[in-house]
Amino acid sequence: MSNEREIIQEVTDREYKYGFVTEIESELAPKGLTEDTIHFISNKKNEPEWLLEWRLKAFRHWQTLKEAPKWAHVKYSEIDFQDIIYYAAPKKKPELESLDEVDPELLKMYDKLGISLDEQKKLSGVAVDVVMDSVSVKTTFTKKLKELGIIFCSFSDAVHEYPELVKQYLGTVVPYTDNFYATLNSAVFSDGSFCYIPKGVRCPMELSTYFRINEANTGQFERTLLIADEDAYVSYLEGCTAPMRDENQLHAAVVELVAHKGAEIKYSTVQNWYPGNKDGIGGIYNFVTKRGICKGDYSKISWTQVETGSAITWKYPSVILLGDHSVGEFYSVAVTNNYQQADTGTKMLHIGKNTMSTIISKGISGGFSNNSYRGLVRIGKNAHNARNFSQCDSLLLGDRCGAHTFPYIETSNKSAVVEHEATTSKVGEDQIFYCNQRGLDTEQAIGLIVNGYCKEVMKQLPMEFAVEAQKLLSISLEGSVG
Amino acid sequence: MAEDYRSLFEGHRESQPGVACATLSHARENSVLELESLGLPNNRLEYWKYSRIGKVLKGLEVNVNANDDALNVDLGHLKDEQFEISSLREAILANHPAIEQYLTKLAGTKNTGLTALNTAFFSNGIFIHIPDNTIVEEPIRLPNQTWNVDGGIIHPRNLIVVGKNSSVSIISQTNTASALINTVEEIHISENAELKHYVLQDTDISQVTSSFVVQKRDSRYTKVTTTLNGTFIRNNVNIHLEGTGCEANLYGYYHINNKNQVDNHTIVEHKEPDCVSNELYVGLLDDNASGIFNGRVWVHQDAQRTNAFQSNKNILLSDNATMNTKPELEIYADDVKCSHGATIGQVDQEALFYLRSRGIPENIAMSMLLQGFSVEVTDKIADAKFKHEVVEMILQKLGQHQ
Repeated sequence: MSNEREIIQEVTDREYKYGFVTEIESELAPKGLTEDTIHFISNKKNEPEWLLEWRLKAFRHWQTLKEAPKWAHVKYSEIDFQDIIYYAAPKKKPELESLDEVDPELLKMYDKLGISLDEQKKLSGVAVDVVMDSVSVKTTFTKKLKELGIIFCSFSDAVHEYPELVKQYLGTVVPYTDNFYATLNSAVFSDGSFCYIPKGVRCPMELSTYFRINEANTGQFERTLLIADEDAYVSYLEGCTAPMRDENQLHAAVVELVAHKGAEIKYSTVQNWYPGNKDGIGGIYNFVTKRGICKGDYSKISWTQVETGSAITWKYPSVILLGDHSVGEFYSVAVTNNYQQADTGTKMLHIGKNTMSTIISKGISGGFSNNSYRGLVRIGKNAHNARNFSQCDSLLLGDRCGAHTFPYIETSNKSAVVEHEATTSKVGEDQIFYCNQRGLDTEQAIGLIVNGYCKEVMKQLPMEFAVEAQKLLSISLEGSVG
Repeated sequence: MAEDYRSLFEGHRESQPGVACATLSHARENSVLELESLGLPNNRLEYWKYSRIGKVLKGLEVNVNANDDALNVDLGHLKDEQFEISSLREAILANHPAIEQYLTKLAGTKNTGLTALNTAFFSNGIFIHIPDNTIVEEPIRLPNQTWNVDGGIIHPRNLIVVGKNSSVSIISQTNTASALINTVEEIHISENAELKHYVLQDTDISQVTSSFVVQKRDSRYTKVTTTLNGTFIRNNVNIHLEGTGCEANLYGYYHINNKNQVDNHTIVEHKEPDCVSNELYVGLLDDNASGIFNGRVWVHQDAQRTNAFQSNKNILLSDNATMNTKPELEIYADDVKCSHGATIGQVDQEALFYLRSRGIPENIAMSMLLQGFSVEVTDKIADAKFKHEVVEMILQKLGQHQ
């Protein structure tokens, strides 16, 4: 299949579109991590005492953890946690009133990213919170949302304006002792988004956060907290990019979702951090903890992710199905190329009765990459009539890449029904032949087949994102999509 | 258990069989080093996750019984001019060429502590050698093995070598008693040879059986394991497909109750192109029983055109039973067809209703459906007589469930 080889060649030679650096004056914390760093960050953000205490508790716990977990199917040289800048903020004038006051350099950058804040505000009706390096730069539509009682703001603002809510929910889904990177994040997280949907409110627009790492040598540690009160509904989008650099940068985020009785949260991510060059140099280490809890009966949390970036991805968006009749979903497309490594999947923890979960995971690997699905489905003792369906398919596009599946299924209730199936294959020569026969060249054929292969997941994305995701997928497989 | 393996080993070195054999002594020496670094397994190791091994090993002595009469097994009636069968000790002492060539070679060194423990301390077991171009018509049914030891961990070691173009069926049944039987078996299947291996586990014992199978070009291996009883049963099956055109079939049926645990761990390593592997494990778990299945299919980069299928189906019959399953695929070649599936569920209510509506009482209908569940596996037993025996035992066990 020389044609396929050529396509893969083309793909590996492509440039990362978002690899620019924006010249913006920044304020940086000194390199390294000590209690002083935490005081520095907390001080910068003018945080209340209780939050500082919480950070310090996390930091002290982190110090007791000897090393980062090694169980994932990824290889990388050890990270020197003292060689990272834990806080970087664009130097900004105090308190912006309108977009005119935003640093024009910043606006230019967002134009490049294709998310002009201004236009977003006027046309698309998507409320955006933009986080650059360590701080939230601009949140749009706050006012309009406020009329409905919806709180959507940067995490730091939430700490000042809604301390009670933050205090009530922070760390309830991902405690600071959860895992190595979650603990690190709890100690040094700088900003992120906060969102609260009050009882019975259906959020009228998509909420969106855009993350951008800009500074060199920095790590990004953002924290998102999203709460949907009884019978509320929200659809939340998250996107991310970073400049091209030769060194590896660390991104360790935490996302917590809380769905109360009858609430529904739909969380979509298009992850496109810089994946490193074609020789595997540089790129983001994306070690993220994402977890949601279906606290009340009849609640629902749905994770959708399109993972195309990052040198290493280590991410398991999970759902704790605590309420009876609650529903968890996970839809994922993970594409790895060149020397990228992805170890991603989900955890569905069934605790309540009649809980239901669906896992659809599609992995595509090319070049020298390794793509693993790792998932856990646990049916607790009292989860009567729990139901799970998992499907994990892998597609191999080269003979030097790997595709792996590590599903864990633990069942301790006899009324549960759990199904798992997985397949690994390459694009069938007969499928390509079929397309060729009907006048499509091989490139188009592969494009068509890959698109069809991912469709199940893509259709879960909100419209605005589906377009971006499809574009990303086509860039990832450039030359093959007609 | 903090044993001083080194001094234990030194103390018994001279009385072990094969002390004169350089390769064997060397392998034992390495195993002791390995054992010292690995220690015995515990639940913190991924390979022993969910396992009760920690509890089983607690307080157990390593039983080193190197005497001649440690193993009491009567193989006389199995002697045949077509092939060789003897105790392993006899084969070692007779300097059988297969010992030098295969013993300890197949099990390798990079293993779990229990395999290393066996290699360091085994004294006896069963040795079967089928020469080239030999078709053994009747299955070889291994008799009971009795170990004259009192408690502790014992280490039977079996070696089976099947020569080129040969074919044989072997039936084994574990029923010796000890605190923990830590068996290691090494199986070498030469070019174009075939081994059908049927294992029946139906006594109330604790055992870890680690099988290492090496298959050469165009060879076929079929293993059917039926587990109907056992306090703690751990079956490790490691298949190395080292030639093209091999076929490996692993089937298992388990039905356990009380507080027992059955644990099937399989690794199928596809090292060469054009091989096929099939795995099907189905089982029922009753009372407080717990089941574990971990299947790993590992396709190396050069193993193109591999077909590997893996399936694990379970029914929990009690609210206190648990099942943990982990079917893994690790694939580094692109031209492959691999799939795996795992299900945990109940008997189809509609099927049950269908039978009941035709006048069949619920308990009998249930038995019928559950037996149907096992047929997929028992059908793989080619020997009619043994198959009949196994099916009868399965039915009897299902009858007890009612």
